[in-house]
Amino acid sequence: MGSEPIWMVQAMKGVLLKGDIPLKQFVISLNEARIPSERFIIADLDERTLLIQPQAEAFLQEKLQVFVDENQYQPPLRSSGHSSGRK
Amino acid sequence: MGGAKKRRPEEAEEGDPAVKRLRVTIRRPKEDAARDSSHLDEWSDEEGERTSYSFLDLALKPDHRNRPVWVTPDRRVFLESFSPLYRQAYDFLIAIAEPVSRPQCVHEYMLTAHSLYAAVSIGLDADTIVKVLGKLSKVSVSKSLADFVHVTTQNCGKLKLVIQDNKFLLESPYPEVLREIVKDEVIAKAVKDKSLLARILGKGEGAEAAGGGGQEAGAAADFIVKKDVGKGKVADEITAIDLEGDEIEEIFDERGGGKAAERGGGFTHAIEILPSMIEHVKQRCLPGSGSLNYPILEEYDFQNDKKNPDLLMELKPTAKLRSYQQKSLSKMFSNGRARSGVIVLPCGAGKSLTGVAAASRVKKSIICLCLNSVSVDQWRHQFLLWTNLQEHQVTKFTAENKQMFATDSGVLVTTYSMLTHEGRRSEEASRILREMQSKEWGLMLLDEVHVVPAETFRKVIAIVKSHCKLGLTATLVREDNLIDHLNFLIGPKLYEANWLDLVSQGYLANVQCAEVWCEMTKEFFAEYLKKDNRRRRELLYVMNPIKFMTCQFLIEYHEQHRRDKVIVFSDNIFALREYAMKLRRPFIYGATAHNERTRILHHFKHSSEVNTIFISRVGDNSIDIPEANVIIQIASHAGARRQEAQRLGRILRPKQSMAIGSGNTGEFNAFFYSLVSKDTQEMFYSTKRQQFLIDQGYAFKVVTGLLDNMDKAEYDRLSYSKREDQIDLLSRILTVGEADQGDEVLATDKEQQIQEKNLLSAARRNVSSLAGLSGARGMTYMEYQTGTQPKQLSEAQKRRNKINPYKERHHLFKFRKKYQR
Repeated sequence: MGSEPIWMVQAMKGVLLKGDIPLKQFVISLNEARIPSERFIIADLDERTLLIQPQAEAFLQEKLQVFVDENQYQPPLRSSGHSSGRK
Repeated sequence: MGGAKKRRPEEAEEGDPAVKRLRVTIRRPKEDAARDSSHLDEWSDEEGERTSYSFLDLALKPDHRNRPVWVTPDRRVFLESFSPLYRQAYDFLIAIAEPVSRPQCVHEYMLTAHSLYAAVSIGLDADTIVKVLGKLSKVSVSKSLADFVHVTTQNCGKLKLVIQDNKFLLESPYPEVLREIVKDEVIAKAVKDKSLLARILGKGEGAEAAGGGGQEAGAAADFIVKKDVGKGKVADEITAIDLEGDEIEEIFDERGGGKAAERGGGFTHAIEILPSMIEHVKQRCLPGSGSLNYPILEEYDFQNDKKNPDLLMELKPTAKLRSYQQKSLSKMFSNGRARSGVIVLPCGAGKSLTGVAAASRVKKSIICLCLNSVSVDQWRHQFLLWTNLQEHQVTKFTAENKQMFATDSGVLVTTYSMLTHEGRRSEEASRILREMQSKEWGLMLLDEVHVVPAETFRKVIAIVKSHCKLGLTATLVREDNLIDHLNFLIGPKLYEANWLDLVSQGYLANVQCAEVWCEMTKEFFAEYLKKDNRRRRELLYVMNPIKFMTCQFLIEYHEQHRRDKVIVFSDNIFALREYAMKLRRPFIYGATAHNERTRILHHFKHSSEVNTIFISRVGDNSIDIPEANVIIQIASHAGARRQEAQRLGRILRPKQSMAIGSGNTGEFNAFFYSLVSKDTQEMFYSTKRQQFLIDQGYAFKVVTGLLDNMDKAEYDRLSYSKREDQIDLLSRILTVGEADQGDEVLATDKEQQIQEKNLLSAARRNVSSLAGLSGARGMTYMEYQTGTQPKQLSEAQKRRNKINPYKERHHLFKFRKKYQR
């Protein structure tokens, strides 16, 4: 087996993630929280863009949704027609 | 229902073994009621099908366009505020139902047992309610609703609680009612005369004194029988409601006549109750499952009370009552007696005057309870301002001055904490307290009734015997939902004013509420997300540089362009100091000395140079905050609805230049900004706090990107616009000690804190590393404060601690050297 010439290009498939500044920070924090072998950020392109591994996409969606829900307050639905107790 | 009642006296004729059976018989009306109400729960229409939230099948009446109200079978009522009958319909609905939400166009109300109980206690009865509802409604009132009204109100007004000769009596014109409730265990325990109780239970047959011509019988009769004082003209009440339309007035007149015929022969029967069990008795009799459903009315016949000395007080001619104040008082004093209850009026709408006016109608000794000594001063000032009482007749009882009026009758203003104080008292305080307990008070005014927890109330009511209790508050919401207790501790809600109406009439300022969203900067947000910084989160989102810049921008805008007075609220002390010092504005918080506070407030009120001040939580209760036009909130306590409402109350006074009653609906003259950092927990808390205000009709406008379109020069002028400054700030924040970074803790907040803490999670988990615990996390210097914050000394203590050099010392020790501090 001969050694590969060093000028061979290595190609990696990635997903370009564009968002606003807080979003990027959020993704970075999620990245940092994982152990090095599971990290998914390939490159940090600029203030609002990241290149991440494709398989992390679904995971990110989920986490983001949870985060956003946490910060939103849903007023409890007022139920009517219950017996005489006061709300 | 009526059938069950008739059966009972006959069955009662059986002998002793029937006691058990009697008990079973008594339970039946409750079961019936429970069954009925559960039937009503389903609010099914005639076919028995369950109709959920879609009321498309309700038939509209042909003239529905003229009617202002929708009534749904699930007991909700919707009122159109743009209808010409709005005024009168509102007054009627507020008397019979609880407001759920009152925005600008369509109001929502809910009919509950409590609200109907309140309606009956002011003199309306089931038939009237249903008839008037029918008249006002676009759709016909469903049968289940009508039944609900009848069932809940049928037992109202049959039991009354009165105080006579320092005894508590439960009286009723129907002796069988008394006999019935006495069989209940809780009530049985509360009856003072145990032998009487045994006789009633034993005999089973009502052995009431035959005829009993109007005397206080002792051992001869079973119950104390006396002549009925007479209900007085109930028709007076009706004119207060003042509905339009001849037909409606006719109904009222008929009803007025009919009521008199129902009276049981003009005598009332009474049992004496132990004072300590009063509250249990009241709670037991409330409507609702598991209770006896005989709600107790508390009324005070002050005009015929010859025993208690009169207090000659009159309102001054300058005291003009506004329409809503008069309405609330008419609800309280209809039929010539004074009812106990709660009046809800917004901050700044003249609650004090309402209280004083009520007191001057009763004309007996008044005791007034407030939250703190500042309020005590204010109330005393109001009493002297609006009535012709002399200074010596209105006295204060606080930690600093302990006085009691020397005359037979007068006004005593004191605080809740003074009465419920557990520890030892001074000699003078004990003396005054004993005097208070021995007197019979005519009216007890309870200020800010929503703040006081139930425990305090119980103690107060046990100590002070007052014939009539009036609670005054602006916000009847509490996070811990103890409002229900108020219903039977004080009384039903007599009147609630509509904030938006008061605004449109010019009595309150027209407030524009805005929530300004500020983005977090990159560095701050990165730190916010780190797990290590969980404790610091609040500090991080409060000290967000973008928020800082927004605050600065708003302050400068309002000061320069509109010449407004601005108050900035912050619960977080670190933030308060940082902001105030950077922006070079004065600030007040718990540790600020008293004279400095007065100085700052004085300048704020009168000087044109000081237009903005920063205040912490002390401003919520203990300071006489001057009026301002703009409030900016930069840091708020987790989710307390009432706090935001109270802060709004600070500015709810129209600007001086505007005449009262001019009613500018278009122009806003007051502003309320709540600054929140985007994508943080703050958004959650902020929305939660606004719920109450939204229900009252205030719309929160969301403002994003306030700083986006600024030109560069102006932007750079703002502090922290440069990245280096921001990073500098960040590093400073990260090194702040634990104790300093939280919200301010005031000594008075302890009880509320404990309650609120119990609501939030009971357990807290923190992620930290062992290295961090041993100090190896790379921090070079961290400051800890062990123990709590320095004790807040009261004024008297501070004075005592101060050394007065050579002055005011006893002449023997004048030149003695005290030890140097």
